Amino acid sequence: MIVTASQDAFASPVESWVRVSVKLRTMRRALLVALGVVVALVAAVLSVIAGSGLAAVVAVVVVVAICAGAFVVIGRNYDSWGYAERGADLLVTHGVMWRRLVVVPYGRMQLVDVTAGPIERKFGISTLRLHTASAGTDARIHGLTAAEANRLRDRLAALGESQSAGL
Amino acid sequence: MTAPEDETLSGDQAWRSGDQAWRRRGGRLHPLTPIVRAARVLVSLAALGTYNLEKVRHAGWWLPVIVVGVLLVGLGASALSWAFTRFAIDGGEVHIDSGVLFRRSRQVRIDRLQAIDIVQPLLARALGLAELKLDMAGGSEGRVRLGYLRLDEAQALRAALLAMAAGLDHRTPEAPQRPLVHCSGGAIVGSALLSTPALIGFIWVAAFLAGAIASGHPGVFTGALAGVVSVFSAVWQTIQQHFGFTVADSPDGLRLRHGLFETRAQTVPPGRVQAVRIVQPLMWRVFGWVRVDANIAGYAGHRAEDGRQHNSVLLPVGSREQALLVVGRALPGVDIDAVHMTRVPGRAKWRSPLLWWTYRAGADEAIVSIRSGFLTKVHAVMRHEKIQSVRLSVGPWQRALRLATVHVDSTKGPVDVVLRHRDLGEGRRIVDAEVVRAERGRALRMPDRWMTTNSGPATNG
Repeated sequence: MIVTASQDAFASPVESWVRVSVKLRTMRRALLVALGVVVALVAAVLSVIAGSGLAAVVAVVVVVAICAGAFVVIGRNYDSWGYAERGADLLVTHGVMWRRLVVVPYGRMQLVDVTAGPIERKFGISTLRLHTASAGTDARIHGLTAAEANRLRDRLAALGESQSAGL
Repeated sequence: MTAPEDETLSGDQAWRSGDQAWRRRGGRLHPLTPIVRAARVLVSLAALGTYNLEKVRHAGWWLPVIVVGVLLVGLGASALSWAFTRFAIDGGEVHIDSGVLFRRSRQVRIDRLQAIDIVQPLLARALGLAELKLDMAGGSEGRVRLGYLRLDEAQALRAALLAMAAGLDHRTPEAPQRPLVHCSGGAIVGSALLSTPALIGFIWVAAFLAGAIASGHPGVFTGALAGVVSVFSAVWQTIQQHFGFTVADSPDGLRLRHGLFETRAQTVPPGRVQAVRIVQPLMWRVFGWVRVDANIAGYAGHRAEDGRQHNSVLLPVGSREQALLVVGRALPGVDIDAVHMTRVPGRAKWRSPLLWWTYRAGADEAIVSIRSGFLTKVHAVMRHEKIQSVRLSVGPWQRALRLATVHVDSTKGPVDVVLRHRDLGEGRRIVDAEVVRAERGRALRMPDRWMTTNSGPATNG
């Protein structure tokens, strides 16, 4: 019952949320595995140097367990991301433990940023950020494909222009 | 009725004397500008000297030489900068060219003005000079200083700029003003001394004094003084900034005048106030005092430039009736006490045991309103059409209790409109309702040139 209420409060105002690219999940999981392998290797090598084979095994098991947990968390976090374009505003939702929903009217957008770091570029995704005159507006969408990010940016810029309101 | 936007103000037009003075100087600032600017160097040198009193006392003949040298360099630099600065008003824009090595040319759209201040530091006041500060939306780059000018020039220029910003002819005489509230010196000093930081300072002093007496070591007390000095210098800053605060109302907007040594006359045009709050710190209840703060686009984020927080106070101290009078002018046509407020569900006590019973929120057709706080009471309101974005957030503990917090985002400033711990379903309904009301409000909003509406007073240009 509690779950339904929470889902209702974060339901999409249109048919459904547009989900972000699955490459976001892939990228985060790949980074996690890479980090896990490095940490496990270092821990194991240090344990062996210290002369304890058992410690090495324990260290690796702990690292693998943590990574498995984080693997699931990344999946759930990915599932929580969504956005929707309405007639006059853009909605973005994300978060599992801390759920967020942001509504930004197109007329209030001052700036639309599309950024992609080196690793994001490798996976062909970018991050889109919306800025308004408020510092509190925290509207960003991770894991958009480059094409979708550009389409959204151009559309938002055009809508922002046509619906622009003075302060 | 209105001046066309592309009109150029040429010299043969009937400008009042104050306007003509800077034109006769070829668009230059007042020739005494470098002296006022260089005086700031002297002030900082004096401050440096008082911090190093021992060294100053034992300094030789070279000290005066260095001081004079630094002053001369400062004066020379200011004079050069003055000589290379020109300004003009033309086609709905203020143009300012400045810079000796790196030339800088700025154009400021007058219809985007958020507020105009006339500032007079002590020396400028003695010389009859004033600086004009134009606040535009958008960070520290959005602030333009035009100084120094003769006081009457600055006032005439302000009147012309406000008239043009309103969409009227620049020759429109300065709008008449009607005084609303004047804060007595006693109230300013008393309210600063009863403010929460000052009270903490007093308790701090008392605690260490008691400690010093009990232990018999005076050193305990002197050790605590350093912390106290900074608290009381902040209190002193507040007093000298707000001294003689007067609020007046005019068709140009709210006019605020204040300051003990450095006086400041602020003009906030209608519709530029984004959000307002009425605050009552604990000890102010004794006298029934409240303060009114506002979010004004262009006022926040300038701290770095002149080293002090910008004044976003509309009324530093006054009765609730006076506060309502000022709020009524800042947000015309709004009755903030008429909004029906509702409390949060009782289960919110598990999330916020101390304050849950103080949270109230409500909205009507024009505004969204919140009240909160027990020790310091806050009542914040915002017009729907000024909303920048709306956020719903639910933390894990809130989710277990089916509660949600709604943030109604305004521009940077002291006022935060946050509806804490509403029922989860209600939270989402509030978000949806606010978005719809904001959209409707924006469609009906006052235009940037506030005198060009049909509803505005008819004026001959």
